[in-house]
Amino acid sequence: MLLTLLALTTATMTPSDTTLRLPRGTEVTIESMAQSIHLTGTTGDRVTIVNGAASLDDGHLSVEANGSGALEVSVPAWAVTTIEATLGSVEVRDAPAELTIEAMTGNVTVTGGRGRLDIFATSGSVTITAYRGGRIDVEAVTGTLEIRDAGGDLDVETVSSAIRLTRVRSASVTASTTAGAIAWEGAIPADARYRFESHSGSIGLAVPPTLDARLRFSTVRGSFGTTVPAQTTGERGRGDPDAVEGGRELVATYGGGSASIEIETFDGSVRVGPLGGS
Amino acid sequence: MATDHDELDPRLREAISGLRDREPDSDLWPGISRRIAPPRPGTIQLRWPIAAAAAVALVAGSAVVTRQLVQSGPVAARETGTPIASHAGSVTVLPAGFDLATASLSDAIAQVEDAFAEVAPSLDSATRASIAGAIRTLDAAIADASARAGAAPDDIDAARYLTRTMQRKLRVLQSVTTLTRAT
Repeated sequence: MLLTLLALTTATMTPSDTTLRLPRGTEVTIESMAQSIHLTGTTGDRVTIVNGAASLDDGHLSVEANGSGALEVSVPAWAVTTIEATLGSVEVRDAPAELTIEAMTGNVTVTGGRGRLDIFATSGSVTITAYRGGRIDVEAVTGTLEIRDAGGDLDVETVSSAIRLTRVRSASVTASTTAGAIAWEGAIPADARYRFESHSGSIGLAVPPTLDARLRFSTVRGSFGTTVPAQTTGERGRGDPDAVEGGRELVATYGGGSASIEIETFDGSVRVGPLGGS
Repeated sequence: MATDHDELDPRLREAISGLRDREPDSDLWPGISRRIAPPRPGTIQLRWPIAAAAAVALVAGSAVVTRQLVQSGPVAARETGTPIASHAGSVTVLPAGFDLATASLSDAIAQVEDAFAEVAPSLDSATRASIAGAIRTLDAAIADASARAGAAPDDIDAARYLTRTMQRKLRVLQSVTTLTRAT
């Protein structure tokens, strides 16, 4: 009853610089055509909005930019939140527990937060820092993708831009690109299951010399090199070993070979080197 | 045979007697109505949905696994004395699974490309150019994968790679088109 009353009394559009208490379980959608969006996750149940208008109805809060400056919104950390940005950038601090971002041209930056993060960016870059996620999914079509000091299962993809993963702590990583490069910098836990795919971009892994992993690399025309000691076996042709299109596969075992790293390229090269090495 | 006059199982009778009508803790309709609401106006409705194309690709993958098993048949056949020729029909039919998958994916891609062409004028020129570049990149990858699969028609990995690469283009196109329509 309380929820219904609240919904009825706030169902009309409210002016800028709005503060309201968000009923538990309410989902939030934030939209902007041209303005940038700044989102902050906070404790408690309060929502604040600057340069935007809000409508609350049927357990759903819609926020739309309507001022000239950046749309600034803070939402409770528990709120399931969706951001749709057309031209402006998106900046998030302490991301709420379940956040989806769709950005057409602007860059997306997420700093801090935990939970589940799902981002689609068409031409802007995506940068995620210090996020402790249960899961991070990112699809960036042409903008670069960088994730630093983050945790959680990772599934990231680009078409033509680079993917850079630095000090990511995760048991499960899938990173794929068509023509971009993939760079991994950091430790790989013994229980890790990682997969890297690139059609024509190169893949570089900077890892501790104590890496304990079994790396399986398959390629059509790519190459593999490692300056971290490994036992390498099985470079072989499938079908006709002399054929360029025959495909090759090799396995490099580092230490006891505990973690699993699968790498596939069409003609992209793979290099494994020590962290901090040149 | 049980009839309406048969005695109920005592355990069933006890369970029924414990049932009570109970009002929901809260009004469930808002959540239900949101879930059954029609999709957003920007969402692409395909005659050949992506799910169908993906399903065909999956079936094709399964078919190739079957084919692998069938192709391993001659060894078993020699051991058991089964005529090798009995597997020949399956071997020649199964590769069509991937042809069907690539054809379905091509159809789906063409539809989404048409849908994107309709909405693309609403984008600024820089974004259009950026997306066009990405599509060219994906087309180049598909051409590589297609050439590889064509040169090695028995290579399962090559066939899978081709369908995966096509699925990637389809997924990117659909996401971009849906987002463009929504704006």
